Amino acid sequence: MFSIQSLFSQIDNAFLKHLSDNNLKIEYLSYLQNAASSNDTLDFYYSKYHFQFGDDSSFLVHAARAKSLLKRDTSLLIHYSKHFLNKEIHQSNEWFNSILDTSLRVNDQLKQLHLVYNLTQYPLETVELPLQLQKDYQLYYRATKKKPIVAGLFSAIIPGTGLLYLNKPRAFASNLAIVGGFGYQTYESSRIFGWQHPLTIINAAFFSGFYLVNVIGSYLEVKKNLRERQKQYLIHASTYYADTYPSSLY
Amino acid sequence: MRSIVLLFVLFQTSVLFSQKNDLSTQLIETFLHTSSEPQTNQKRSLMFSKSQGKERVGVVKTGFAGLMYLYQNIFSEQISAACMYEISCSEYTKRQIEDKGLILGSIKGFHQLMHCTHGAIEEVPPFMKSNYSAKIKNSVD
Repeated sequence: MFSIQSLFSQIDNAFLKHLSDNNLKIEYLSYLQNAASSNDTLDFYYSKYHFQFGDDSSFLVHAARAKSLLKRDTSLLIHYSKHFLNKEIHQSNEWFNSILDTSLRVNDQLKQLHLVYNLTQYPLETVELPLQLQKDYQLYYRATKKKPIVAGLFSAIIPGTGLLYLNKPRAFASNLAIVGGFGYQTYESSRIFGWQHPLTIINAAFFSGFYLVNVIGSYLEVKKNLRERQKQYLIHASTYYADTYPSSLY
Repeated sequence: MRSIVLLFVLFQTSVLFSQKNDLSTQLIETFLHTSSEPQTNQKRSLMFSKSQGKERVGVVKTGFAGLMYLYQNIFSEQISAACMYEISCSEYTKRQIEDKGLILGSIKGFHQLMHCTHGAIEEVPPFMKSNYSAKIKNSVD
């Protein structure tokens, strides 16, 4: 009865809102599968369905197809944009840089959310951010300026200095102590027993292993630090705009 | 040859010691109805989990897994190791080796080990701090 009724009617937004409010996933999907409507409209509601029930990849596919309808609903666009501030990086990139293009950024709030996501494209001085986000953004912006190869080189010259370059003095101290300790032990055992003694060989193996880890680790740490700072900034931005720009799915 | 036999005996002894089937544990489980649910920080597995299904197992990788097993079940408890990370450095190293191979996995694991100091929690962003304890969440790559 339910399917037959939906076959001969337009999509009932109020009814879908009711299904959505009551979390009736199967009924929602069944209604859409049997609905007679244009592809744009179906994609629009499928995107809502996937958004609500947590399938971001499918959401992005349907949202990209329903752009003409999404353009008319700025509140919904704000709702989606807030959600994608703090998501998997490739999904956020697709939303902000592919789907939410200039034709969809029709009001100041959408422009602001797009700017907040793509902030590193602009010089630090030209960006106006809320006070609450400035500290995290500055840390993120500084992280974008650090070069992994420089950190690796620093650590190759003096162990741990790559981490000092990242402003991590405690990590620098522990790295220097470990590599320095093994270096000193190797030197002492070579001085006392000679280079062919098993103890010297074991010490030298430990020293070279930790030295290598220190260099490659510093290189990787710069990349990791950038991801962490970006994530922290976007988490903060997401919670800030959740309160500042109220919105809903229906 | 003698050293190989000695190593084998040591290894078997450690396996026997690590099996906590003593009476007190059984009594506690019976009376308090505590079930032995799988925990996130499992330490007791001998092999890297992915290696179990494979037909060929690398000698170096297996040797490394054995060393990790010995460390986690004997030495770690002896030195009262208290790692600063939610997934301990040794477990993290095992998982990284499983995912990324022996070389890169070891580098990443030992890199975490070199950061594992009590001050390390001050140098990570707030979202990397655990909500439940004074520990650091392991980075997700």
